[in-house]
Amino acid sequence: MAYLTLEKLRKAYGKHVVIPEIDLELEAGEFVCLVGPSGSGKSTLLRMIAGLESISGGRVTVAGADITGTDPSDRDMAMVFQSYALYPHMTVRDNMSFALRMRNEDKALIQERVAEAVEMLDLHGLEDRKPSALSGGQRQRVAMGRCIVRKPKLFLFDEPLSNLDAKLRTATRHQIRRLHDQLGATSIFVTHDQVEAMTMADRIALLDHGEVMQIGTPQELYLNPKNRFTAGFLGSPEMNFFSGTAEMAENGLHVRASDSLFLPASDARLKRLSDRLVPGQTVEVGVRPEHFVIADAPGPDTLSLPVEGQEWLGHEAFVFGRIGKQEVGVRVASGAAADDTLPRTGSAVPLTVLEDTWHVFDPETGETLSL
Amino acid sequence: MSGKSARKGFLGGHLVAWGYALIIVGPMFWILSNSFKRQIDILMGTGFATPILDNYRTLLFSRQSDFLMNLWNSALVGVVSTVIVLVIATLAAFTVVRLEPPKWATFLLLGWALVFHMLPTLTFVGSWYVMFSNLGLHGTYTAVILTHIVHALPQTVFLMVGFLLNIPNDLIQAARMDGCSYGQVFRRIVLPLSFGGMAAAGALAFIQSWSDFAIALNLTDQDTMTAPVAIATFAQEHQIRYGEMASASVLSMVPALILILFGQRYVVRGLMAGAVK
Repeated sequence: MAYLTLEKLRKAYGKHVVIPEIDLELEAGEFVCLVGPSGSGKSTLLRMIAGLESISGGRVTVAGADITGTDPSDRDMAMVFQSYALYPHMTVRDNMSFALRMRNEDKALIQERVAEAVEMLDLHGLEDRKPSALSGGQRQRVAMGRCIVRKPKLFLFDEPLSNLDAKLRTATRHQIRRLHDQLGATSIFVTHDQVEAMTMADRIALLDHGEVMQIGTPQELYLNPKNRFTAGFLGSPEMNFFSGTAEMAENGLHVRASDSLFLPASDARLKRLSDRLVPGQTVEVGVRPEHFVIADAPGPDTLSLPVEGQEWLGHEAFVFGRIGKQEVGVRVASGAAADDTLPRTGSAVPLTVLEDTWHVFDPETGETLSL
Repeated sequence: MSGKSARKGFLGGHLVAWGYALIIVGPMFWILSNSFKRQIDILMGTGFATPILDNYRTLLFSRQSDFLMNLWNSALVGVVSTVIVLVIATLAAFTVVRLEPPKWATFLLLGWALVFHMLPTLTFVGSWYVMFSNLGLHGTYTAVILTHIVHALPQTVFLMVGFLLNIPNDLIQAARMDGCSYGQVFRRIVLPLSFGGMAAAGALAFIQSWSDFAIALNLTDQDTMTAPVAIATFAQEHQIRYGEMASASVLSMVPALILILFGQRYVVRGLMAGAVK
């Protein structure tokens, strides 16, 4: 049985429904990221699990025990807040030991746990400082220390990295994941940053308007998105979308709009598609920037992209242009690509699509047709 | 050019500030100088006279004078009412700000506080006099303390609400997750973090009680009389004892001055709380 289960969990403020109904299961030891745009209900969901938001309907169970109506002080969960929420009038040591002191734990045990946490988080020498005398990164670590010393049933993270600078964020990402593994903890991590979710999570639950759009490993969500929302949310630069009428060909799919796009496919995929597609049906097609290949010469199956700009990132490079009104991004090189080999602004590059890497979505429902 | 006009504005500001200071400090200085003069010098309007301590001596050590007891009464009433006001107001503010009572309850409480704060105290003094007389409490500390509590509560509640709003909700939620009940949250987190606000609101409530004249005049008797009422009694039927009146005023100003000197930082911060983030 799953460690944490959410059954038909619902949240509404009066008539305004934030989360219509969510079912979710977490195994013990899992690291799950709740991702979604702002307003998707991910923070609300986390706070409902924590007990900080009331639950309008449904059930939450942890390790078999129903905690739907339990007071947050009795849930034995620990949370890292976006603002860290360190107690400003207490020293680092007192901040970390606060929960244990509230439980009247043995003094020796408290000391031992705090020392452990200080060691793990490299907070030596800061034990007697107040939070106001710490840097952002140190505060963040103290906030984690406060959770670690408790050995709680569940670790909850509410966008804890968003106040750190980019470099520190990357380092802290690794540290959080390492601590999670080291402690054998079960964690839920809320973020709006897809990179954080992709790099840290065992599984990602992608939310939109209070509904789970897709849940699965980062690979599943990235490579096999079940719907257009998932496809568009993950990946940077974003997946390119084209809409047009679909026509089956012998070794692929033609999507015709003002320009024609040819999507090469294996026989198996083509067969699956032909079961679902009505000839001449309007579809939406998604191709990731790295799944385009620049062809040697323009041909009947290539798409011509007028180049309007480049992004050179060192280990990879992208060119951008517009086809019709649609912005299109293409990864043109991996490895340390030299600047002068990039297609120039104003020129046109012929593009082909890699076999079976593309996605077809129903324009009405947004569901995938190509899986 | 802009420098010149800025300088002009600067000068104007200075003039206003100094003028204002003069209006406040002038009378205080006048009282201070009178407290060291003989009655005849005060009546003659003598500018400079040899300072004497007779007024203070009579006030503090003469058999006829109760002024030390009056000061003690003022202090007792001020401290007790301030402490009780702070306890009630802080708890009320915590409830309103963090426990999310029904909207109408909050509205009622704050609305009451506002309306009550706007009504002149004198409106109530008559009925308080009758009420306390009927209860047999006229002339007791209880009567004065209770009325001073009622008088200072509205503004104190408002100040404390402003202060507690500055304590981030995350802190309270973090403490809840760390295993605190709301009572523990209040004791362990909210109380230590609102000392500054309590100092500010407390200083104001104390000074209000200390300087109250109207209520104390009607509700105290010879034994419980506070300093401001005692000062007024120096104006007697046949003569006004200006010298003693002045020295009594100076003495009664001292505690308030000390409080302001030490509490100023908190008071200013307290009054700004909620206004500036």
